[in-house]
Amino acid sequence: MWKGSKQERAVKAFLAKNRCPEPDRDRKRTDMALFREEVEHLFIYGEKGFWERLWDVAAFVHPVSWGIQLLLLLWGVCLAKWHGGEAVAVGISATVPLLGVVGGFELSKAVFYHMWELERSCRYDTRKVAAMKMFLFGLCDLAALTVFSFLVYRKSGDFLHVSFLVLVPFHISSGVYLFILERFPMRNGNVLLIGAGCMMSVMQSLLWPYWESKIVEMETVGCVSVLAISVLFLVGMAVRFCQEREQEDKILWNLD
Amino acid sequence: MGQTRWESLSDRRLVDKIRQGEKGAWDVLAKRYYDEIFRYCWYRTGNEAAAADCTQDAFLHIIQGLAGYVDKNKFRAWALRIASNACMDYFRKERAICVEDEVWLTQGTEDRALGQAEDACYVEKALLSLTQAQREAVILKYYHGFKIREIAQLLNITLPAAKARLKQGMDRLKTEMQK
Amino acid sequence: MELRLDRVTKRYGRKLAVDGLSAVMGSGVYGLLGANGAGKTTLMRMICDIQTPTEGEILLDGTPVRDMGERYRELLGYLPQNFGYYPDFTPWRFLLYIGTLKGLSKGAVKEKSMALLKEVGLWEVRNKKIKTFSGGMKQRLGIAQAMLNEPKILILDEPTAGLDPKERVRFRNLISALAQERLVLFSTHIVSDVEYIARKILVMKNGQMIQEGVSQEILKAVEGKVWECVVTAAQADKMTQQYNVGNLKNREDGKVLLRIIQEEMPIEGAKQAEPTLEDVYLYYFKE
Repeated sequence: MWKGSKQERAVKAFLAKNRCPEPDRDRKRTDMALFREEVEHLFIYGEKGFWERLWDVAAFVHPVSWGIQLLLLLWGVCLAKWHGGEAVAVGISATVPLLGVVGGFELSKAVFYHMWELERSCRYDTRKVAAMKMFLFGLCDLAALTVFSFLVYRKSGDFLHVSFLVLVPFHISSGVYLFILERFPMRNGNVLLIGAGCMMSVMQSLLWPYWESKIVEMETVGCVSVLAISVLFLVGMAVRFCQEREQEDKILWNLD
Repeated sequence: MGQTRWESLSDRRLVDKIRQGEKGAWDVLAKRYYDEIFRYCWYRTGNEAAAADCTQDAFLHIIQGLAGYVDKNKFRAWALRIASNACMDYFRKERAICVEDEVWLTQGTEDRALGQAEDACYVEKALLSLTQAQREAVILKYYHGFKIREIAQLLNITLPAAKARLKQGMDRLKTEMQK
Repeated sequence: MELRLDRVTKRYGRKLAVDGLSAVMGSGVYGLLGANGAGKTTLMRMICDIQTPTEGEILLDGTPVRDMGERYRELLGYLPQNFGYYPDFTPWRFLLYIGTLKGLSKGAVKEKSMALLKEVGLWEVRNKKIKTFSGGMKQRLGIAQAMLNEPKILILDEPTAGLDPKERVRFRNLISALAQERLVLFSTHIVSDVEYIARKILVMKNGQMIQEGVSQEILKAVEGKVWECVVTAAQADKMTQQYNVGNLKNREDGKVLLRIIQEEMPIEGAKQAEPTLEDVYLYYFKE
């Protein structure tokens, strides 16, 4: 409108005569210190996304846990490479129930080392943390399962074999671990986990001829139903585990 | 010392860093805007003590507002808006009456430091003869270099309203200049 | 800030751990005094939202803490009676872990962990495993983790138990300093802790609040019930069985100075004495 007009230039020049003084140095210093103190109390909390929090959880998982997961995976792969035919199937099938043990250990750590009390008082809901750990180990186990499934499929060429050898035993064993963790949150719960794992592993290898015959007999519908039921079992146990329960009360004999 | 890594960041990035708990980023942001906000408050109030108080007040409000602040690369405008509010609060406290369109002088005109150039004093008086609204617009345009559109956004008024305030302010100043 | 406990009750089956307890607390240090089994830990766990009351409510500035969820726990710092730690943890890693669980931002966790470790005197040993620490060092670490999120409400369960006198004094001073703008509630069965630092005292017995108030008010309960008498050693033995004997002091002349807490004068010649908090404790918690 009046851009560059004479009048505007005159006003500008007029206004320019009024120079603002520098702010007082001492006052500025005290102000800055005051502001810094105010900011100290802000933003100590960060809003983190799901994946960032998952990474945080993963960062505190013991390296040995990762190591054991890796070992189990390698063991399954070795089996496939060194033995032929049916031994592979049975071997992998017997390994699968052991996959969930490590995850189970991690989930029970808080009770085992009596950290649960502290953890429960923290901002993040321990249910969410437990669910995240489950998700994390679920991802690892999924990777292992994929490899195992591939190996079994390569040998047998049949999805039903994969189902009964790998998927169903995994779902059932993991569900059993979650059940144990939920029902028996004791300091020696880990012993139960290992015991259950070994037992299921042995059972799976012994039951294998039975499954073989069943796969031949059952129709696809039947097989798929068995698979679906095993998934539902696992999901149900997971939900139960995550639900708010005062499980720790059961281990408190001294109620004070 | 570690401040150099913050200094090259934009305002928006600094606010992000502050939100993530990096307090060093705040120091940089505060230093970046302290003088400008002080200048704005000084032009508004005409009084060094009042300007310092308003600056402090503005910054405290800025800190509080950082939590909910949504940056659209206009931190400077937002900060000056807060400073404007701080000045209005000051006027409200100093005088019982303060309505946007009323014209009145602040205490500061009489309290000017000795040795101040007469010219400056005269300009100051001229500025203070404007209404709050007109003065705000003039200060933002001529002392802080904002464009009219930016002024409208900052003051949360329509573009015609901003233009009107500026024009009225200019006309008034012209009159004062001719005295 | 006001934390209100409104008829809070906790039942485990038939056992009543906390029975209809009501109290109102603001800033300052509160001492929760009671014997083992009085329900102190259960009460504190409920305040920390670790356990939910069977009946009654806990409210912060009028809002039930149950409804506040995460927002409430952001304001909390808790030091449990026996807190554990993962075996490979050093204090530094421990604080990082807790800080992460408390939802602190990355920058804040490191900054605060460093500051707190220095404050509690554990900075030099920040990379040593916690299992090598003494009881006092562990408690100091516990306080550090409780303070990570600058809580407005600090709950400490028996913080001085198992500490030697020097550590106990250090701890008390630490707690006093922390109480400036926050609510600090600590439970203890050590009377001197409460005497030195608590502004207000809450006495708990069998899940109920039986007394609450400042020192002077609490002492009123045993006014006129504290007696001192000098007896022979043989008499002292007998009287210890019969009466609620507080202190027993062997004198140089072979006689024994007994301090007895009871309603009526125990024997001829017994004199009334100024009651102390220890007397209060013995009065309420006599075997």
